[in-house]
Amino acid sequence: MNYYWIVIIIGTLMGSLARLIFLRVDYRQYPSYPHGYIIHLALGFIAAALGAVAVPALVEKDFAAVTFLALAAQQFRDIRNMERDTLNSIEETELVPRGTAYIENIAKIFEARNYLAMLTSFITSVFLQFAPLSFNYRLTLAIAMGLICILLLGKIMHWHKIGDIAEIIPAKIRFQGPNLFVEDVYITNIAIPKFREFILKNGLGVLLKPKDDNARAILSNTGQRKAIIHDCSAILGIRKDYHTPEFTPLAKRDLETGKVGMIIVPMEPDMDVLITIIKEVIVLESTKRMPLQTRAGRKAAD
Amino acid sequence: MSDQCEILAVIIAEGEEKWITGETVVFKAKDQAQKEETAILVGRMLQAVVHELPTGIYVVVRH
Repeated sequence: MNYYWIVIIIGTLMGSLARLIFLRVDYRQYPSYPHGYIIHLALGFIAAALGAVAVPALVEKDFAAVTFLALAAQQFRDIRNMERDTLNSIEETELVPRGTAYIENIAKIFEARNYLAMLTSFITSVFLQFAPLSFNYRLTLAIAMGLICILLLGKIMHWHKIGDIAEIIPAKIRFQGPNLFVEDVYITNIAIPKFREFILKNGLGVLLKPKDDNARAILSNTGQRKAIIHDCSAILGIRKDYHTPEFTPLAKRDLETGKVGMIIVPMEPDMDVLITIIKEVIVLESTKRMPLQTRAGRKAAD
Repeated sequence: MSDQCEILAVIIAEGEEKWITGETVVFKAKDQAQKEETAILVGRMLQAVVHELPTGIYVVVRH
């Protein structure tokens, strides 16, 4: 067998492995399982193959072949569009929508992960092609470098979670007339006494207290709050149907402090689990704000 | 969290007519109990939330 084939096959396998690992981590956000799984594995395989082929192409000075990487970039953008379209098209069927910020974040992650698969396969192929060792050692080193690459990329691509930026504490739900509060945060107005009783009996309330001004800015974003609500609803279930919008989970801000009060009427009313879920919700890239990185922001925070 | 809201109807009990102006659809009930029942039905039919104003009248709003 031509040595280039070995380089391409091993590189592609390592890249595909990277895609598989990142896909598994992302399972909770996944819109369609197992068919979506197959689509992304297939696309990840193609990305990995392109990364692996680049090395033999460069060795053979076939620079035209490297331009295929540009085509790959276009293809990955299509993946992003595909993911966005898929999620947007099912958004209307969701009792608690993800929101555009969450969808955009998921779509961006799926695009980026194909680049990671490509990079992993490229690095594996480089070591398999150029390491000045006997074949067995070279193969071992290439696979080890591929695995290290996956680990490092996994660390680099680590995202912050709500638990990192805010303190999540159980809070009391109360009504003042028809007005619903979580502690002292106004949530909404419920006219029907029967519904108020239902919410008091079955609802759970939590407060999200931002740890600093950056966190306060992140929690002010409605897209971030929709993402939190969506994840909680998806995992705990909600006592709501399309004709009972009164029981829609809501998260509102306290205008004095920036803390967020959230209410949900879940199928599984377990406060500890709810807090765990909220802590695990990712901070969306598009909602990240860092006022404390600026001089004016630091001064304002004094 | 809602981007757009729309008032679909108003529900009142007898004696609350004085609070109504404009051209909103109004459902009249004979007493408070019937007002609540009507509000639940209208809210469910229109898939909207029933809110209560300080005057006591119910407003059916789609968020």
